Amino acid sequence: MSLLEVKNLRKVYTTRLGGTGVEALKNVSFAVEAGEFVTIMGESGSGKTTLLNILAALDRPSGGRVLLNGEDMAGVRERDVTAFRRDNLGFVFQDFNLLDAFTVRDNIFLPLVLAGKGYEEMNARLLPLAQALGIRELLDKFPYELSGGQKQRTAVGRALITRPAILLADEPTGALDSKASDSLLRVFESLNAQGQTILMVTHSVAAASHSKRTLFLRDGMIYHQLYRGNRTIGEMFAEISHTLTVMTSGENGHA
Amino acid sequence: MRKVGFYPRLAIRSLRLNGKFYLPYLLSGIVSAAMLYDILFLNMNRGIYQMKGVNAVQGLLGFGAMVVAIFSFALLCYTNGFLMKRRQKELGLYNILGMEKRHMARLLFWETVCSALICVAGGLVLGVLLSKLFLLLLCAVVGMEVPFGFEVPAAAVVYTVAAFGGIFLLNYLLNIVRLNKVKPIELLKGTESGEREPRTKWLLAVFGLLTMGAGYGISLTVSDPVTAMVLFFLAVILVIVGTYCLFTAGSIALLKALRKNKTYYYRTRHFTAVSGMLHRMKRNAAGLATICILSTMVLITVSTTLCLYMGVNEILDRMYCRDVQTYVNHGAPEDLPKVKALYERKAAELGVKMEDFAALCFYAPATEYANNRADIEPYLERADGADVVGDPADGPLRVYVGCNLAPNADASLFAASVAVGTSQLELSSSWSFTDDCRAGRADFWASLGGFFFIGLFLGSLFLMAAVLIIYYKQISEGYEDARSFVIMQQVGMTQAEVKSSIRSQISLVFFLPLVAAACHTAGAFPMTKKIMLLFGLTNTGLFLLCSLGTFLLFALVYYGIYRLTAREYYRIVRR
Repeated sequence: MSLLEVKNLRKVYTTRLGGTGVEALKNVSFAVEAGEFVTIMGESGSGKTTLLNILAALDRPSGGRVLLNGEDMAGVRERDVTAFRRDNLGFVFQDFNLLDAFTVRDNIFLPLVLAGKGYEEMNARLLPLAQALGIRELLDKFPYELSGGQKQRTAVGRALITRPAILLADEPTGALDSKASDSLLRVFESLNAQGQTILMVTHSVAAASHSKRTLFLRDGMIYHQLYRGNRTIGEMFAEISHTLTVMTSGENGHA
Repeated sequence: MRKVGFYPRLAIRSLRLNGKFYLPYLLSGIVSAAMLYDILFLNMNRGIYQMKGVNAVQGLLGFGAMVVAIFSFALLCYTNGFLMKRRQKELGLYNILGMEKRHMARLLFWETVCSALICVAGGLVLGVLLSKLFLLLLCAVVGMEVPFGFEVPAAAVVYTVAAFGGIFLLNYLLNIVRLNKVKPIELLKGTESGEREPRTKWLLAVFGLLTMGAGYGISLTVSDPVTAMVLFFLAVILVIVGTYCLFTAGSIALLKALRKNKTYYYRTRHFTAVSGMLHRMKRNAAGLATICILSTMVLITVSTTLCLYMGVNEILDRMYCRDVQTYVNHGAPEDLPKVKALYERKAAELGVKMEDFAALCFYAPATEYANNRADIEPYLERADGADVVGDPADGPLRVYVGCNLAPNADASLFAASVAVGTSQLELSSSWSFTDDCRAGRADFWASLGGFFFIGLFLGSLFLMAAVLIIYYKQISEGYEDARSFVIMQQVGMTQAEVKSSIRSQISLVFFLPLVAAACHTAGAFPMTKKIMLLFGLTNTGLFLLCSLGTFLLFALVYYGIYRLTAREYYRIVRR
């Protein structure tokens, strides 16, 4: 059984006055195994964000199913969705979404506090995580005192402190310079090496080339996928760029 | 070529676009202009000039007009500053689109002209419409006949226009100064820049505690009414300073201490509330302190004046023993028959019938201000017909003669002729007075009524200011918090948790000033009670009742405002 299974996912947006709908996702199926590092690539408007929102239980699909650990997410009741999300999913956003009023420590603690955990337990979880993310010295600083890379690593800490089954990252390098991006992606790789499952959505080739598998999304459908295998990051970069060139120049899919 | 009237039209458009912020500003401008006009109208109304007992009221009204003008100025400056802060982004955009600062200054000029026109014109119209109502209210409270006719005193109009013109001109100049200080990139960022966490200012907190303590201490320890009156303003200033210090520094110290307590802080309910409060205290503490002080002002003004007004009969009853009365201080026993004879002669001359005639000499301590009923009645009872009461060891001798008159008799004529008569008598002391107590009563009644009227008038102005500040605070916080609440939901806060967290934050921010105001009013109670003694009001029960009643009514209004603004806040945050 896969950790995450997406089967025949459809999403149609209808305008408020009815009329014709826009089909953001047509028929998307894929699976993510535990311990994978998967990237979903696509242009703006390819349905990336819609897909991620559905995976995050922020939005409901029009058709098809999403199974996490074999449990159908459509079966989760509306009022349990937040708790479900908190316990199973970790999020990293493009613009960090840290709270200015909290220190780095408290930003990371936030989901655990919401889950009603005690301070001792939170602290025990925090220290190794902060060590791994290289933000141990920054715990008492406020977000406005941090660089972009430090902010994003804080956000990763916040996403991981609940020990989620899967880490969902939406354009995590979108607001970072190349150096900070690179360091964040190395953090992802090492987290993945320790067994953390990661699903990242991006349109950055550099970001995608760090992952183990890349799925290409076009016009609401999976168009192609690439396994990294034993390739280096440089080779992967070239491969992905080539695929994108082919994809955007309009050839038919062969996935 | 630029079209004629580009800036005026742009100004009107931007006023309309920012309606949510400008409407309350303009409304409060209109209302304060109307209030200024009305109080000036009452002060200058020729109809009431000709009435009795009006001098005291007119002095009060003049004082009230000054308070209204100064207060309107402070209020509109505060609101204007708030509005400009909110609009920085818009102005920054104009700047980037190629509008120079002098163009923006022109835009701001037209905006100021528009708001000034709306406020002054609206205020005058509203003021004229309400003037008769206020006149009726004043006459009812003061117990005067309502003068006929309807007038619009030109001077009142001119003063109102001048005062508000000045206020808006000053606001415009302040805006220009503000505009020149900022850089375009800052204009664009506007309110969104990260706020540094406030540092704990222990010194300020301790200072606040000391001043507040001193203020309360004065109120609680002061023993005699005259000292209370003298020290009242000192105590008020101490408490105001203390309130500002404690709200700004004390609240931060308290919140930081709460944050240090890990088992308390890391709970869902406290976590967001404490950090959120801490984050916003720096800017909002002053606003909260202002709300607290305004609330206290409303409570004290209205409760004291209401109590005096309610207790007026009791005060009058204690004040005057007879309708017409004469005292000779440091007199001699042989003065008594002379004054007695004078009363009888004058009564016969004027053809009035004296009732409850009382005449006696008594020895009383020199410090005792012995011409109230409460002072004289016991001596009258002790005398029981005798001419002299008491012991020379008690103090100087006073001669008292007084009588009541039939309701239709002319008391003032009688009192005047008695007064002329006493000056012709050869008394042992020249220190003698004759009171026309009916006129005195009417005067006193009028001035207490005037007090009450001014109390209500200013109380409602302060209330309006408090409402306005609360409204703007909630709105601006709503915009600031909206993003935080989105993030919290993404991180795993349920909708219900968001709601309860918002509720606990808002209610804390809202009811803190109210509770503090209640404390201040209670703390001031011993002192205000003593000051009421100066007015002759000894009924503590009545005062307590009036204070409680005022507080309940105020709390009710306050709760209404809370509900209204909380709804607006939800609407902004929920987006």
